[in-house]
Amino acid sequence: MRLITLIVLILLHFNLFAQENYTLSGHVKDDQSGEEMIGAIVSIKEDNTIRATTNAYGFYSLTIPKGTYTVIVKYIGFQLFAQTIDLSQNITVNMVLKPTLVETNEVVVTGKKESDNVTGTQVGMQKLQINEISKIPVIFGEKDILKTLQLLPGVKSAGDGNSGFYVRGSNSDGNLILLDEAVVYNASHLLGFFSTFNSDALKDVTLYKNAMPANFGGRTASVLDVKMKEGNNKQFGVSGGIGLIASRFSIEGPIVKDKGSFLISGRRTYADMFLKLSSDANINKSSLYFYDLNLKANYQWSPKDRVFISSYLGRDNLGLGSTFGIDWGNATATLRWNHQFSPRLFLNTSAIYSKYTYNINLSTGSGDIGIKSMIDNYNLKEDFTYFLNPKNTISFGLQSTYHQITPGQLSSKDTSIIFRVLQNKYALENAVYVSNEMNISTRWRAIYGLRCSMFSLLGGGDFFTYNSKGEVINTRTYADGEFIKTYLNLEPRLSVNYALTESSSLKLGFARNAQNLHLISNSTSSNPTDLWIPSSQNVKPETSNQTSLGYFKNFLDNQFECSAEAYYKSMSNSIDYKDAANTRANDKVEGELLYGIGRAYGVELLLKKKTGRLTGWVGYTLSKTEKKIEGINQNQWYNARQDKTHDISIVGMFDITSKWTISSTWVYSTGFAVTFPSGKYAMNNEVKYYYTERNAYRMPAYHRLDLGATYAIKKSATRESSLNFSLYNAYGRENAYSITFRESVTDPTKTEALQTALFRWVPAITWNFKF
Amino acid sequence: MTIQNLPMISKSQIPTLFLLYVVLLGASACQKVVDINLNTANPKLVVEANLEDNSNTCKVLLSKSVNFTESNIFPAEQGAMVLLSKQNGEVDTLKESLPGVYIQSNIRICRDSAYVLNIKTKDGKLYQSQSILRKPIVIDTMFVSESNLGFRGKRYNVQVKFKDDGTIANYYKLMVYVNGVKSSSLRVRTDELFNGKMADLIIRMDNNQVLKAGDQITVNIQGIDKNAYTYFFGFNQLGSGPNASATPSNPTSNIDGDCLGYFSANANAVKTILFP
Repeated sequence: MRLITLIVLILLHFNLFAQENYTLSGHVKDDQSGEEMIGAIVSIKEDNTIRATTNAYGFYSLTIPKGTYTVIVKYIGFQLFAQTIDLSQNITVNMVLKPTLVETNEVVVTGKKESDNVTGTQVGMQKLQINEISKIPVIFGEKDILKTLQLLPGVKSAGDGNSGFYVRGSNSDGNLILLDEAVVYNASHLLGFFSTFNSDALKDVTLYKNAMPANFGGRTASVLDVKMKEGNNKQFGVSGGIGLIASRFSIEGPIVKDKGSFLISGRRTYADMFLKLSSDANINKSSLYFYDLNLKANYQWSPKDRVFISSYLGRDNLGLGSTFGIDWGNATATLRWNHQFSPRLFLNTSAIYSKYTYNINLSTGSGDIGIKSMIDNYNLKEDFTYFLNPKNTISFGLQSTYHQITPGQLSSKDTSIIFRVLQNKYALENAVYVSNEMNISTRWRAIYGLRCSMFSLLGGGDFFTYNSKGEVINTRTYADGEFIKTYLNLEPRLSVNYALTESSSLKLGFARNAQNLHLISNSTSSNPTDLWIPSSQNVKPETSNQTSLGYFKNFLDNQFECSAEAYYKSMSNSIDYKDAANTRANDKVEGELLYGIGRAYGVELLLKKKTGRLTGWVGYTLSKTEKKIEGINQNQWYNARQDKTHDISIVGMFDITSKWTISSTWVYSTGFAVTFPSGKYAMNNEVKYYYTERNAYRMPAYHRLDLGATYAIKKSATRESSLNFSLYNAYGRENAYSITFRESVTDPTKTEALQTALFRWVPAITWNFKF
Repeated sequence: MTIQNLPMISKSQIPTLFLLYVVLLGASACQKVVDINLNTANPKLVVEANLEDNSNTCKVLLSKSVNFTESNIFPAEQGAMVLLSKQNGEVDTLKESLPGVYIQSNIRICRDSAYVLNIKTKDGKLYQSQSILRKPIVIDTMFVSESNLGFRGKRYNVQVKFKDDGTIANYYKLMVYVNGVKSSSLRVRTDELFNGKMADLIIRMDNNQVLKAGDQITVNIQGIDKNAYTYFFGFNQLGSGPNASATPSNPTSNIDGDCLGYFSANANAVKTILFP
């Protein structure tokens, strides 16, 4: 009801200045591939207060008084588009942009429009350009959006061999990772060395650190919105890369020219091929690989209707001889339908399925044991965009998701094996939202919205209530589909931009987020077998409130951009674990949890050079993240594991000649907060360690230099071929992966600390092609 | 066979899995000893107290913790007053036979009854704990079985069967001796998966304990109470390292007062076999 009142009020308000207006609408597309361009700016030369931004499907709409206008479209890397239009009725104009003549010394740096970081209204947003990622050196030479994002301020790496990342002090399970709107539960391959995103198949990557648009919800930290390419609807093309441990191959082309296209992209590692060479039966029968498969197709069957289907399938497989095997992976499918009710009202309907599973198989003497685990969801979304007038674009919609969780369930053909039966969990999550992007004046712009989310835990089965000690005090049996507990959360979102001058602005952001799926991972590194649990009678939704204020300034004709942003985030119902919590195969895992509050605050500085032969950025984050949980650290505030005080990244790319580009990154950060022993004692004839405060120590500082070079063998508008060389950890820093304590080898009466480091000097070479 | 803690995704094996990747990928993992500047902590009293129903003996070991950088010499806590009382009001005073070792035999055994341990150290601090003595189980069958689980490959384990008491929740501590040498692992189980039924447990031998023909194998299954179980479970779980608990801490003691350790009244069942 409140929502409807709000919409009506907004509509009434803006009808006041209705006059003889007509609507100019259409799509903005790339001339070469026919791909729709997201976030292109459509403006009117005669009146610079009038402008529209293309939505996620490249659609724009401008409702302006009758007249003759020069329409201008800008998008980085493309020539300026200008067309004179006589607006005396509603008209559709599709703008087709030509790429800037390809010169290798022209490097495109993040930011979709030259001064976008200053003029853009959205707060806390970072966009990555896929073509930029390819120049940044990464481990094993596999370009990777998740690794590149971690080079931006406010985004912190979870360490070597861990693709998790922490945004502004939150846990890594607080990141909502979406691939074409479908949730990706575990975005890592090979225990974190790679992400699940094959860059060849991607079109657009956007990370929201604060003030996420109201259509997103369900996680407390950030939204990573990854969109796949549509595929070229003009001509067929293939592209790919051959590297030392993985290869990629993509094919794209029109289904019907200018009306529909498809894209198929695959990637597979082949480190395990070398295992076959071994004479040891245990090794040559082993498997070790991962693969990704991205599929997408779209077809426009009328000027007003277009359907998209996209799908992702990725799997890791590790098998040891014939005795042990584990495989895990995500699968997603998205079906979308764009419909234009009018030149001003745009609707996207999405039906989405997303799943993460892992399986473990073991051969024993007496029979096979299997463990199966799955989390999946069915999701239906309706997203409307109403282009009310040049000053107001209203988005509203609803979303309904059905979640199913099968925790790691054992099974065996051997009937003599008894095991705990773990109950499946079901939940229903619904949300409605409304949001308005408003150009208030030439100086003020704002996006304000509200999301209302409802999460219900559903039966059936036995549900437990626990006392403060974690002991079951009540067991109640619920029928299938019975509502057990429902949580309602109102989540306001706000972005305000105040232009100080043409090249500087102040931005204020606020977001409240609620999270009802919690990742239980009682170890310092993420494992494929980590468990998701829903909110319940015992586990309340985690929430966060974040406020941020930033100053943005571009100088030297937008060649440089700099920003300073401060944030404060408070978190409630944060989860931590009891001492010696048993989180594996435990049907009473909720009894092992503790709850409390958290706070995170910091300052992020970024200086970026966007054009010229030398491009890159320097980012610095100064931050603090703490938790206060009943039952931990004598109920005092303590550092969260991800609390890294200083975090620096320097990224540089330099075009030496038209053929050679070199690049380098250097990162430095304070070590993670850890708990180390303060004393030791004897027990059961062993030396045991004695701990005092939680996370009061630090791992050694992490720093690393990576080098890369790209040699363009051939480069033309349609054909490309290049060699990419990279050296990860160029000065061989032994960054601590873990520190453990043991009896000293040289003097058994003493105890010593042992540091394990994973990588020193990982060189790689990759050949990339496109034709 | 009962599976409680999955052998293949146990904490000790995830690093193996991880290192396998690293090795196969040709990357180099390297280890070195580093200096860590650790805080010092005030010495804490460490209590290791057991009441055995088969020898009618209560033995309490008292020592102190030391700072991390010091040698592994743990000072005995001498001159303490250690009392064991029963619900019927009987009190036994334990004698210090060696420095820090307090012992008393001829303790009267009362089943399903709480024993209270009181300790008063020289500095006047008081510690108290209680533990319930259960009835012992009877080991029905015991034999050596072969398994082929996970990374360990083929190996011999000891398998035991016994009837569990279905009227209460039972907790067990399993100890195994090969030719009189005690296996160092601390093994505890609950009866959650076999409450009131015939338990069929596999006792996995330590990595350095390979069973061979002619070995004399002794298994001691102790019935313990819940608080003692919680302590031992925590004792096993806690540690540091990349895949150990993210939150190393001290196991939850069942002793009141600021100290480390436990008090457990043990109902013993012992059986010995020859392999094969």
